[in-house]
Amino acid sequence: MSSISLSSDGTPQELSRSRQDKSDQPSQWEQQAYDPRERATLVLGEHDFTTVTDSIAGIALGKTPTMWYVAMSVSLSLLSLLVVTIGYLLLTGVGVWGNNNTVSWGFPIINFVFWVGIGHAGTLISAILFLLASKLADGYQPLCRSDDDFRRVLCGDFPRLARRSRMAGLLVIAVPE
Amino acid sequence: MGVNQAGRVGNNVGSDVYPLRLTSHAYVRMGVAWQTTGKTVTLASTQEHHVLPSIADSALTARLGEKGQAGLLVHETTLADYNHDHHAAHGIGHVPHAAPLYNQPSQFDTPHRWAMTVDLNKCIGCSGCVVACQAENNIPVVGRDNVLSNREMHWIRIDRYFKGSVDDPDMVHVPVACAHCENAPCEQVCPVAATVHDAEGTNTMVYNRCIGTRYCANNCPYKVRRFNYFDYHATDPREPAKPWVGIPDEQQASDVPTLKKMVHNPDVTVRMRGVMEKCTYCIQRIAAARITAKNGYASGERSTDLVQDGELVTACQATCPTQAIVFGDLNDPNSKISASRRDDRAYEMLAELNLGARTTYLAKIRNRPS
Repeated sequence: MSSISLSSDGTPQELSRSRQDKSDQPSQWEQQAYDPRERATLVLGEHDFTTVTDSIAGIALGKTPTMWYVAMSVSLSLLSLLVVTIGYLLLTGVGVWGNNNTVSWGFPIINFVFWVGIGHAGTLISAILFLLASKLADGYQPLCRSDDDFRRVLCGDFPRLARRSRMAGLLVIAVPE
Repeated sequence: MGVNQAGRVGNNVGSDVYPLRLTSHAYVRMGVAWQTTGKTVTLASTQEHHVLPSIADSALTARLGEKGQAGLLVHETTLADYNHDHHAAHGIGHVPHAAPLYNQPSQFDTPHRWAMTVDLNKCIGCSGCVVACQAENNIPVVGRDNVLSNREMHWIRIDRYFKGSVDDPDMVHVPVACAHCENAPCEQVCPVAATVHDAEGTNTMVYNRCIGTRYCANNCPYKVRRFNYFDYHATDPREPAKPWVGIPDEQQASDVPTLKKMVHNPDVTVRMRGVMEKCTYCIQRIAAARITAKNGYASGERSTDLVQDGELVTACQATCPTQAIVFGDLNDPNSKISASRRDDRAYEMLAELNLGARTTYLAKIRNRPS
């Protein structure tokens, strides 16, 4: 059966006819297993507005779990380690990275390429999944994309910090003397 | 050798063996036994720095392709071969030059055209030029730990090339400093134009512009650029680097010890942390000679305001015991440097890169049966 059926006067049949309209020939859309006009159920389970509001607002309004404090303190201690090491780097010199006169860029360029590679690869994979209309990463895509953005910001730190220590990243911007 | 009382620099350097030398055994001490201590001490030596690994050869072959022929880094031949063919040291054929994409904007020859040659026949590898350069140009002493980390700041290095058997190899010393390429790769990558050519062909460093990206050092084919990773001038070479919180441009004044300031050459900038530096052809001596010439011309004591051959010597040239280094003005066809450039033995290191290096070399001729 042809997928596009024509009416008797040669014009294409209306595609927006309702599903209740039982004509003699089913439209091309009705032959498909998945009807895009019918929206998928967004919220599964026995939920109404109240239960949805409660479950989402409960994260912020409810009692904070103890494990959250544990995980947050671990993260903050690692972040403070980053601040301390960057401060040591800026005040002491780029040599603390172990660069020397033949390996001028060792540590910073390895980290730059690592993070920019991960960031770009994540974006590329995300784009490929999107183009293929894959449902694989639907829920995670916003998270992955923002994560890739953070990685790109992070990779920029290495060329910025690898500069002369006195103004570090500021020297990327032209500043009048 | 060992020193116990020689001030800050010399104290506790080496091992003191004088306790072995008693008045009763002033010159010969018998019955001494050796015993290994089991300790290991790493020797801080710059000799093994900048060694070309075998991977460099394969990279060179890959870059030049099958038909390409690399220029020899060291040109040498025997006297018999040289007498037979004065170009024998340069190998067979010419080094291929890739066609340049654009003409040079300038010949960098106004009013002078500075150049240097190093005669490998005369060089005995004494490192006198290295020390003279260090004294002249305020090059910091980095200390043992930083030498071990390959961070020595000498603007000249003495390369060694070996040939023959391991037991009795032939060796060639090649002093390598910035070659002041007319087509300088370092200048093409500097994002802030901190290294630029002047009208006379010296590749100059503008220290105040340098933000320390170290891009130039990565692009330098001779690997002669040196980066000041720590405040070597402000710290004791035997102590680890210390943080500096103040404004860096004030650091020379406030943080360099007074006695050390008196050691420095007042004509040369004291570079602190985060600045790239390299051979300047002793630009301060060039400037001084130019000023002398101009003043002499203005007062009618001389007929020209140009620096004449022999009026200007670089620090390395002045100290070289065998006078292997010649520096001068190529615009003067009668100068020593022009004669040296016309020599049959003259060659340019890494000529295949189209650098137009101002520092060239004279091939080594061995006086022995071939």
